[in-house]
Amino acid sequence: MSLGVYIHIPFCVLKCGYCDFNTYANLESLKLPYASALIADLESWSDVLGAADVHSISFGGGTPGEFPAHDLVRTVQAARRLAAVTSEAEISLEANPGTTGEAGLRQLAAGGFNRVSFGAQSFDPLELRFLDRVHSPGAITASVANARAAGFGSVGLDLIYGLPGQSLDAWLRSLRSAVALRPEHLSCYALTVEEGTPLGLAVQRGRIPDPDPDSAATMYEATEEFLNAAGYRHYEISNWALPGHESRHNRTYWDGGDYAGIGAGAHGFIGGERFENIAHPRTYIAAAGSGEGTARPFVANSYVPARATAISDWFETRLRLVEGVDIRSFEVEFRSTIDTVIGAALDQCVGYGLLARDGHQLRLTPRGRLLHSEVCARVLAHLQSQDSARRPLE
Amino acid sequence: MDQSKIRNFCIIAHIDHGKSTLADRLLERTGTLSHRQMAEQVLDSMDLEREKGITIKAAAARMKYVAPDGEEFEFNLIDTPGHVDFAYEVSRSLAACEGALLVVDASQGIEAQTLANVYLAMNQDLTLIPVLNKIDLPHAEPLRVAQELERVVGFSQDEIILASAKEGKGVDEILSAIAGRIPPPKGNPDAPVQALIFDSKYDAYKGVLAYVRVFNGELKGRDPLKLMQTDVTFDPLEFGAFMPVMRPLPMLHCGEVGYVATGLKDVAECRVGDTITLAAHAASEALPGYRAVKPMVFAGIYPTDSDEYQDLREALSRLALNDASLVYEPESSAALGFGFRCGFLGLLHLEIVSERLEREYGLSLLTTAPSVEYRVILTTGEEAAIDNPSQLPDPSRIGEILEPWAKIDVITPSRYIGQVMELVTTRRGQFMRMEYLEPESEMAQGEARVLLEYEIPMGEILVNFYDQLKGSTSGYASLDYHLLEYRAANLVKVDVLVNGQAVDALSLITYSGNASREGRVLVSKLRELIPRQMFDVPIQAAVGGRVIARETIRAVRKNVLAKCYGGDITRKRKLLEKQAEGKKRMKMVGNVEIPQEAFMAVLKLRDD
Repeated sequence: MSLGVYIHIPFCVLKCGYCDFNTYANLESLKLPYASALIADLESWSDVLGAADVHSISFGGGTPGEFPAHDLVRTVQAARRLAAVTSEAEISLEANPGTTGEAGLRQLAAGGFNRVSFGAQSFDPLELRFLDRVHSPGAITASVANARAAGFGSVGLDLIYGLPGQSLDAWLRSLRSAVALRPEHLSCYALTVEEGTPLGLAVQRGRIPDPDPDSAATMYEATEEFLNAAGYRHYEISNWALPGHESRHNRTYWDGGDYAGIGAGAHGFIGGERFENIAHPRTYIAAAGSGEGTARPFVANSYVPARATAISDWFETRLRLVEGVDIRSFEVEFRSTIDTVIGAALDQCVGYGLLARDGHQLRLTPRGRLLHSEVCARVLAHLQSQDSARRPLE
Repeated sequence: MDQSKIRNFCIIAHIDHGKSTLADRLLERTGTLSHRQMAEQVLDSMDLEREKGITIKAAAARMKYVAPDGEEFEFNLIDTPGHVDFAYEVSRSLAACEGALLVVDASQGIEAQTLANVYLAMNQDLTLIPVLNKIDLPHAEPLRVAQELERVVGFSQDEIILASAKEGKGVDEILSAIAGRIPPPKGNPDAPVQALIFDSKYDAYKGVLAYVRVFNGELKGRDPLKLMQTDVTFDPLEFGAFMPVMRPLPMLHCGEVGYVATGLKDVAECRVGDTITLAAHAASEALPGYRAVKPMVFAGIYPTDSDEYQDLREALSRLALNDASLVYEPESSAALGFGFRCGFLGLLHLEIVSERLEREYGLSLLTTAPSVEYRVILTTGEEAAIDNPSQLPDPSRIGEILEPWAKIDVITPSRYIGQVMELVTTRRGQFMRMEYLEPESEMAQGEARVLLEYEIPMGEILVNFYDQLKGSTSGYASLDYHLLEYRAANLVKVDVLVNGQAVDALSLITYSGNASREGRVLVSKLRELIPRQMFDVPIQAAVGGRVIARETIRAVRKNVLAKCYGGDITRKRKLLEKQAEGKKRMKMVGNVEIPQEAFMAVLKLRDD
């Protein structure tokens, strides 16, 4: 089995106003016991890891870059001890510009990390302040330089567009600044206002206008055009890379591959079963001690999705890839042709110009890439109304 | 019981003026029910009644009253529905009584509906006992309200009883006034039986229970009985009275109030206002005042999920078991599928029925905008009754359209006269008369209450009128209405086209002078309510093929989740499930997904 390993670091110096990830500020004191718990978590999967080739280890958060480099390396070493981590495996972390110094980056590179992704978000100081980001545009440039100097062969930047009141020009300025640094990878995310976040509350109270989806759509189309001209390949709805630098780990999600989820609130998908860890770091750490006799002490919830859900998940993830999906793989997985199961919904979306079929390949059209949820909601509604989808596998 | 000891009475009161609390005190003080036994406000037994603070179905209670001098009386309290939609039921309850308690909130004064019922009672020669309730409230003004009653109804001050039902004050005085002032029934026990039905209820074991007042003769034995209006004969299963729980009795004497278990399966056969007599020795004529109840307001009720059509049919038939004024027949709409056209006594009745269907039967329903019944004279001379705007014939075939008119009475402090005038005249109302209920000179500026009478098309007061009346008078105005007659009107049908296709459920009939404005408002409301689709959707309003308003809903451009949540697929799944659920709740009209709220847009035409 080929496996990706996701490792969650739920700590941040400051929680950003738009963020609704499972992450916490002011829990610094838990970092040390948390590092030990991560290793215990990996060990609890020794049966699976022992039988797998690991092709990627990805630290996400939170802010892994602010976690002690020594502990990140120690965790990777534990993974190597438990599983066959391939020689060309992608070992990556997310970091904030300016907070991970050159020394730390060198230590990580020496420990086997070969990929880093900086949460740049914007090159405009005012936009950065709006997003509660503590770094300056200059810090992004410095961090990219430090990472290269430390020997990271793949450096990525994350950017956010579609802020309330942001102009297309303002967005393109940030994008141009990013491309000027020639990162190997770029993720461009439209700002999503999540319920329950400070930003969500401000929007709800009318203090900040709701981001305009039409202007975000215009920015997205401009992004595709600009990055394409700059030599980046668009490979997933929100992701672009120079040839050979696609995120191997994230592709695991979109290809429907197996991955283990390690850390508080992390999600895993192994052999058709989905796992979800205990969310709060404190409770998660406590589970390490109580693990005697429990096979998976960190797992809060696990299940095999019902057929309709499994089909919807299959469709939703793979369709995010720009290249689309070979529909013959649907038959392998679900023992029916895709057309007998969701053909009507697909035809409707083809009719609306959201989907294109090209032989066995099914993919979103450029317009459909902005309407991925419309396509998937139609497929799901269709599945739910079909009895055939509710029948268990024969 | 000797007729001279019987007192039949009801309570006339405005919503919240304390009728139910007073009824509770009477039951308690006469020992009919101990305080402990009594669930608060026994007479209102339906949940909805309690929530809305109104009485929907009349009930009756028998009490034994022992006067201070030891004389025993039988009191029959007949509860009356407290809403204008049920005016006919009220009139029949009044007809069953010799007297009435007029309960008025000492802090509020008399309201329009109460006054209408007072006049109704006076026309039927009922003895009225005025009670000023809630005198315990700090802002009660018993003197002022007493003067109002004196002026408006003609009571003398010493007739008026001051009470606080909540604190039990004045209850003994009221009981003694019922015995002393209300005359006993004067029926002839030896004459052929005549019993007036003032309410009915379906009982699963005993069939329809007719609530009756025996005017002449006696009800006893097993001889077949006959309903004189519907000409239905039945064998009585049981006689009895409510004390206040149902108690079988060997007979109902002349002058008494009680129930007859008819064994009938259909309340429609046992109509309020009908007369029960002996099949063999029938009375020569029925008691006066019977009227077949006709619905005034019509609306389509559709299941949101077309699979629930049979459930809806079943639920309607069950509700109709207890509600002879609810009529329904199947109809189908190109937009909404299969449902029922339902007729109601009024808007509150509509609201109650649709709430009960949803709450008690767990249905999810879509109710179309209410309509009155129009009469259309075709060019061929034929006449058609139209209660669904989409069925209005082509204008070329219409000779004349008639619409129902109503007389409305509004009581309001005089400072709001301007606002009321404006509201009524923008709805084509015509001012008829104004009367001060209190001398202006004795009141603070603008405080004197005034009665305003208007005539207005029924269709104009169906939607939001009452709310707006309340809104423009800070809640002070009260309203009563009754149907006048049909009058010719210059009406047109406004059709709505969504993506070029007419949507029958969105059609409306309106005064031609208002058609353009209402078409524009409707179209712009729909633009807000219909979500953006995968393509541009034009929305048009048209009168007879001529487009009078148009807007376009632009195609949606972006609906995608950007982020990758570290392999957590559940968040996207939840979002997709919500969106998929949303799609299922939409009605597909052509290829446009229209949410339920959009079908109620017609109701919002008068919001601004």
